[in-house]
Amino acid sequence: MKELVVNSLKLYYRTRRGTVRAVDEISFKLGRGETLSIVGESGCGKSSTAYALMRILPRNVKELSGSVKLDGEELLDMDEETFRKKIRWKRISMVFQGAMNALNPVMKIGYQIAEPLMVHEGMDKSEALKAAAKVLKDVLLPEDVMEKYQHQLSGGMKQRVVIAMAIIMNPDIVILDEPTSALDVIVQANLMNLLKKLKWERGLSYIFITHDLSLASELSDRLAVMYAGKIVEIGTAEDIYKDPLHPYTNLLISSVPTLRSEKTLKHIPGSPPDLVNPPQGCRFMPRCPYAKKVCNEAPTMIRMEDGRYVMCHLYG
Amino acid sequence: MNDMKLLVTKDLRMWFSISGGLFKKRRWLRAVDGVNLELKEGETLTLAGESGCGKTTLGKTILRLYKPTSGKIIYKGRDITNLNNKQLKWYRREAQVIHQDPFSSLNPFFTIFRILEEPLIIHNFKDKDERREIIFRALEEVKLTPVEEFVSKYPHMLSGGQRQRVVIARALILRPKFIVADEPISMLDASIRVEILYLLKELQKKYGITFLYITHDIATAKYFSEKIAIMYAGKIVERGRIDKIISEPLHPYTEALLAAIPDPDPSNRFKLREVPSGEPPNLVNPPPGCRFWPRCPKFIKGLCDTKEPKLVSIGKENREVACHLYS
Amino acid sequence: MSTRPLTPKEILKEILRTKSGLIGVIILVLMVVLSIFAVIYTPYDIVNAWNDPVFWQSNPRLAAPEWINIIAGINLPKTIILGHNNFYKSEYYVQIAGLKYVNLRGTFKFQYDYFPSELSLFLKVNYSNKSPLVKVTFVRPDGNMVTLYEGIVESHNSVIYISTDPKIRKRIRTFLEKFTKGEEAYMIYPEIILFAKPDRDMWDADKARVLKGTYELRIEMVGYNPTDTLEAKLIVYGRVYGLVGTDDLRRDLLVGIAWGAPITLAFGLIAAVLISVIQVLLGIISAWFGGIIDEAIQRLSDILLVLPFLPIVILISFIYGVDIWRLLLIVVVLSIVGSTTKVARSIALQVKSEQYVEAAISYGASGWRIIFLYIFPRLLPYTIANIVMVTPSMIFLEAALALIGLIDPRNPTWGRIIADAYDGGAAVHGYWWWILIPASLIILVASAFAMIGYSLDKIVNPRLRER
Repeated sequence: MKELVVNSLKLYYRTRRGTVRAVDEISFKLGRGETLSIVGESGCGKSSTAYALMRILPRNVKELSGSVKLDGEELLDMDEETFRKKIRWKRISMVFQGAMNALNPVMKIGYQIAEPLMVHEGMDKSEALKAAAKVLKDVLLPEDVMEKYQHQLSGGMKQRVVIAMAIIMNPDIVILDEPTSALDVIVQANLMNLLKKLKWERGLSYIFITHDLSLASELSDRLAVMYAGKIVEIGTAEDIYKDPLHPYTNLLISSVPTLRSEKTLKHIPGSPPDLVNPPQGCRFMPRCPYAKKVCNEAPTMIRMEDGRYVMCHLYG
Repeated sequence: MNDMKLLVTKDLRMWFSISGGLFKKRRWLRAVDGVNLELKEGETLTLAGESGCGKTTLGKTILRLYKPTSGKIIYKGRDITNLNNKQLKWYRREAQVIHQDPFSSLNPFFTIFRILEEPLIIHNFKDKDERREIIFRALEEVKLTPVEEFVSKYPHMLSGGQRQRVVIARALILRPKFIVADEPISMLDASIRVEILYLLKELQKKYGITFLYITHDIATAKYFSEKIAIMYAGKIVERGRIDKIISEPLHPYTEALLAAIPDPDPSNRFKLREVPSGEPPNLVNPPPGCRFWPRCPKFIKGLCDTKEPKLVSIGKENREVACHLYS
Repeated sequence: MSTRPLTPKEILKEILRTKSGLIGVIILVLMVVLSIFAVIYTPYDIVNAWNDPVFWQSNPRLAAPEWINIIAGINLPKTIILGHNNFYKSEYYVQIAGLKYVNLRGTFKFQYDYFPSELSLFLKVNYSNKSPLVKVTFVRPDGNMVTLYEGIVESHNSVIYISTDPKIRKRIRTFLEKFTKGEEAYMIYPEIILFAKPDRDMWDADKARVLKGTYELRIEMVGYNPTDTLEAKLIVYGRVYGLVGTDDLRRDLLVGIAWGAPITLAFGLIAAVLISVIQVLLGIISAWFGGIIDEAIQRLSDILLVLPFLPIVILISFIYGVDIWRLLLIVVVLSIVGSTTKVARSIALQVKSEQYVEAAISYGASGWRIIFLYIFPRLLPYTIANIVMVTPSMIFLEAALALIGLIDPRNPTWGRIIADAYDGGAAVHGYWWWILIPASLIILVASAFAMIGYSLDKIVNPRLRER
């Protein structure tokens, strides 16, 4: 893979209350071996972005539009069959939030990992099981896990199984949606170590979705900060953490407690807007300490000199 | 801050029976296995550790939501270890709990008003007008305003942050002396956490409440309390001032725990974290000796796996460690 | 994520949203309307009336519902009543002879294809001192006349049972012989012969054909006082009556059914509510207190499962008499622990460990307070669904108990009507309306509850309806 280019991606849902504009025209790029984290609070649309990229959508989708080009090939135009055969899980796979709780309780682990290979790739059973055993080694799980059932594994081990299932077809991109939620700190650290190793060894690109800014720093080369369905800032990890431009990014970083340094924590008053009727202008304006009159007009994405993108009137 | 000891536990144990069936011997899950704790009035102590270490159980046992298997709990000089529910009613006014999940800590059938009224009714505040005043004041204190709007709402109509404020208001409404807060902010959004944490801190200072703050997120604990006790496999392994422990951890587990916590630092992505592998032990059959030895990088064979280290004081500043490296 | 609890209002809305729930509720509403109708249509004391044969006197016995005529395209007769207003009366007193003559003449048209079921003549004679002479003549459209009765009438209120009186039978046999010319007639049915076309088969219930036309009844009285007088009522009992027909005691079954509706519903619902609520509460108590109490309740359920239900019910009824409300009590007591208890117990165990319950303990709520205010409301949807599912069983149970003879002799219930029908030979003789209509209603009501229960399935099963 060379590049994933997302342009003006839109995902709207139809609900009883109206149209939820979960992902409202976002654009980003992802290069080979690169990790882009999409960070934001709950309800900002980051998970929906993942589902849009994987084209795993519920029935009440009102609109999915924009452009997702993988090495120049448009993915949104593809028909379902082709996408399933060529792209999903083969080139882009996903580790879902809480996936470790969705393991089949009545199937042995080895068989669960091997099954998609048999069904989709037409591998025979022994080949598939061999591939499963190998990938278990790659995620640093002992061989006897092949014969175990999910309830015999700890949370950390289950999550490794899920990661194994995601990388078994050697995809280019793995989307990770809160892969360590509900895991303890030490287990989390071990899992992040594993993800780092896999990234370095296999040249994997990650799209890492999380609300935890500290955790994001473990993998991110670049970050996209999402708010109310829009990306408000994209930049390198150094830029975002050391010198955030957008007021929301700034406040978000200041609200993260640090273990090793002293700081005064800041909080963001108010709450995110309703995605059914987002405000017309800048969506962050009601909570922004720098709000001005011009913020009643919707801001556009501005490219800064150092290659960063910000969506804020303060910069253009 | 007074020097009077508000709460003391002596060798407190809380074991849960796991029956082995009709013909097997009864087995015990040793969730809390010999804890000595001391809380002074107005103090905030953080109880930190990973899941399964027993911190939540310890908190609940101190609140007498469980009856201890053995050991003592002494509150304001009175032994409350074995009192039954009726005898504990006075304690239930002094000690309150703040739970983790704002979605399930409020009775979904009650309005906010009614939720806050419950503790008052139970403790015989007979005058309706008095109750109403207290409730309104409580809501103002946690900044849920305009109060009239909130009192007739149901919990499912509020956001997570708002619900947690109601939980805090309810915990404070009887003017307790002692609150056990079990992960009070971990289920809230990042930006709201700070707000609630500061609210708790403000109220703690205002009313001089003694807090037992239970969490796995030591970074936030730093902003709330001065002292910390690290728990592992049902025991306290290290205790002392939080800033000292963070800068100079003594116990290998504390080191591991702190090493595992990332700060928002972009250079993190270039290095691996040095953490022990493996999981906390099975609390039904904990390993002999020090419970951490199977994962300990500084394990001393022959000592750590046979003899259990005791919690001893190090130096002058109320630092305690339970590790053979220091005794 | 919204796990808000459902209020009864919302449950109702949910029921109405599904088709089956809607139909079920409509049926139940109709039943309630029927019950109200029962009270208005029949404002008299039904309990006493149901057991008083005199009350139903002017109804035909074992008559089918009137609508059978429409459906089957036949022409079964309705009851014709000639009250004293329908008789043309002439009276005069002959002073010289000291005799009072009273003549009554009543006519009616009979156009049906089938014969009446019975004939009765009610006489009200007013006299002082000496009882008068009365002669009753029956005049057919073909001109033939039969003297039915000739003689002294002693009592002031008397009934001449034309269909069964042996003396009248004899007269009719004589009349018959004019047409059969000596052939043997096996059974003399006056109501057939009097109305039959004059031929050899006029006595034969199968072969006789109705003589349609205008019939006349003449009653002549000779009395001895000027004040003596006579009133008469002729009832030509039909074969159809009303909406639901009649039973062997001439009772209008519509009344029985209309009054049975509220009783049946009440029995079913009350039993179901009591059983469900008690079982759920016991389940919660079992979960909350645990230990010995839990064990005790589980053992109790084991015992109750083993106890023979029916013999105990029969035994108690035998000793203390059968009363529908006592029956209800026994049924409830014998059913207080069941599978619902076990399910409620496991749900309650989950709720018990929820944080808001723990919080309640920590601010000093007592166990009972928590059980009723914190745990039971969570089980309310389950309880309601349970009530809806148990009610039809209770309704069937009441009917079944009635069928084995455990009938409350005072109250008419649907089960009792069916039981009476069996005893009255309805199944053997083909009195279909007597069994089918109440049975269909029981099935209909039970189905209504089942349909509502089906629509409640979505609520009782923890299923997320929206993302």
